[in-house]
Amino acid sequence: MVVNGNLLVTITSTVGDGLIMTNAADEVIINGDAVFTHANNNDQATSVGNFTNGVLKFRGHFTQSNGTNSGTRPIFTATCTKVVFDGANNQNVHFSDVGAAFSRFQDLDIDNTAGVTFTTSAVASGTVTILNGIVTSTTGTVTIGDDLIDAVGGRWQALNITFSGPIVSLPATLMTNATFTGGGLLENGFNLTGNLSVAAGGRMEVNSHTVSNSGTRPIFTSTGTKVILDGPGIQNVSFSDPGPGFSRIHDLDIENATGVTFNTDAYITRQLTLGANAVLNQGAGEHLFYGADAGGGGRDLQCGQYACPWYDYHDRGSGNATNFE
Amino acid sequence: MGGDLLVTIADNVGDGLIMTDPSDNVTIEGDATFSHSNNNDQATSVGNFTDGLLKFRGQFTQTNGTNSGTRPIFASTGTRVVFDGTNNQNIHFSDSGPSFSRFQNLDIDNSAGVTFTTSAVASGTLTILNGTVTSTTGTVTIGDDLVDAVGGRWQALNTTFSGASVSLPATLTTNTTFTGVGLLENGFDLTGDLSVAASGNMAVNSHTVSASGDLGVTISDAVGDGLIMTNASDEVIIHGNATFTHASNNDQATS
Repeated sequence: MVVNGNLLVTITSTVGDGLIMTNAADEVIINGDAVFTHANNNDQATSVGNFTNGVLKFRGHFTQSNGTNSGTRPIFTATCTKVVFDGANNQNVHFSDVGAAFSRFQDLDIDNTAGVTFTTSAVASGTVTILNGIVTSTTGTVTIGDDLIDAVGGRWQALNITFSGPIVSLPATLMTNATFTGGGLLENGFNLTGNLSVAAGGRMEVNSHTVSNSGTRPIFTSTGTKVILDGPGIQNVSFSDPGPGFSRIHDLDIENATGVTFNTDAYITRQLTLGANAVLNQGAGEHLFYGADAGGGGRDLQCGQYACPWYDYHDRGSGNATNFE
Repeated sequence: MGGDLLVTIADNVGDGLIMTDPSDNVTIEGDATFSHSNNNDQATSVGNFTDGLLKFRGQFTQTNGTNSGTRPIFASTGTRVVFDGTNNQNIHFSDSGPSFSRFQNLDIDNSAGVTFTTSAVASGTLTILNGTVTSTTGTVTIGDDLVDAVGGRWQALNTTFSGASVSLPATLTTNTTFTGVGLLENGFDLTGDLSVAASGNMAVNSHTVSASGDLGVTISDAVGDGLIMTNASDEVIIHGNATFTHASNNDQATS
């Protein structure tokens, strides 16, 4: 089912009313904004049991609201339905009745290059996977019951996060204040920009990994400014804090016929263009990541005549890694 | 620019930060605080820090919750702790003791220096790689060796050596007390007072020891405690006053 407008779901104290997604093949796409609420004075309203399977895709804002005269209620409670935010513009996520036993997501995918913003605390009792875009928040804490997956790293930038699961996989880098409240057996190490806490009754078991909070930062972050390398001599490029959520270049044109050398990983988040006489020299065997979204169907990597046989190019738009050797 | 670490434990055994594997490696760029919840008077981290490497680059504070006696809130029994910040780092324990909150092996690798602002215990070896170590109060107790290849960088006010076999730097500035078996592996030139506590030994073991301050040796009924000089090449030079006594009510004391 595709809804090109907005979605409003109002439940009452009658169990089983509302939007029901309980089959694996259920798929609902909401292109507008979605609001889940309950009727006034229906203080037993619950959606527990309504979202047990299928995929629910939101492409606008998500709001869980409530009626009057009620305590905190599970008004939008996914217990197995996967929720995906895959809009084209920044999407806000707002919960009025958030809690592990109240309104919450289960598994949650973020697939929006324009980003997703939590405007309240939120709970995802399962795994949160970032496929595209940066996740931020304006207040509160996002609690994740299982893993946080971000293959690129650095794209989780919500203010505060709590990991409540017994076994936790995290991205290699993340920018947030992280708290562990569950079993916290780490499946991998991570580099955190932010504070790290282990709450009373919680654990963080390092489990043969490396954990640091050395603070990778967006020191040079071009989000729209085009960078052109067109010097007359060899130009070197080095990033100490590279990452799609950290230091990065939006559009990069290389016009230097003498040569440009990347000495570290570098992220070009939209388009890398090699001019007609551009020369790309061998660096330190590092990787060049480019092209989150070329836009308009254009190619992320635009090459004229180039000499770049040594780099691994990771096309983040397609997910392909290409080695031109 | 790094963040802080806060670890709060409760009465549940095994909660908190767990480092039990040789390849565990944690680096904290900001300040680190280890505490326990109020009214959790059985809280312990014994067993949580048995292996791996824990680096602090900011201040270290072990504090506690209310309504509890002294507790092992940060108790490393095997995890090596390193202070390798770039600014001076303070170390503060509210529950210090060899059975309570303590380090095991401790490395100082901070050219800006490290300062103990309370008493502290390192039950293993304390190694100075870079920087000067000072204190503002209390005593630092070291269970094994104090290693300072350069010498002169240990400047804590008071130091107790409780180990059986002790290696010290060639020079150190501190008031030194021996409370263990204290068989010296080398001689040293001490700026400060030298003491051998009742039931403790300092066996000179063919080395040369000098102290700029006073010497105080207290023996007990235990035979063989006190200052031990039994080799021809033993040499002890005391520039201040020397006092030899025995502990109260130890009427069998003998040197």
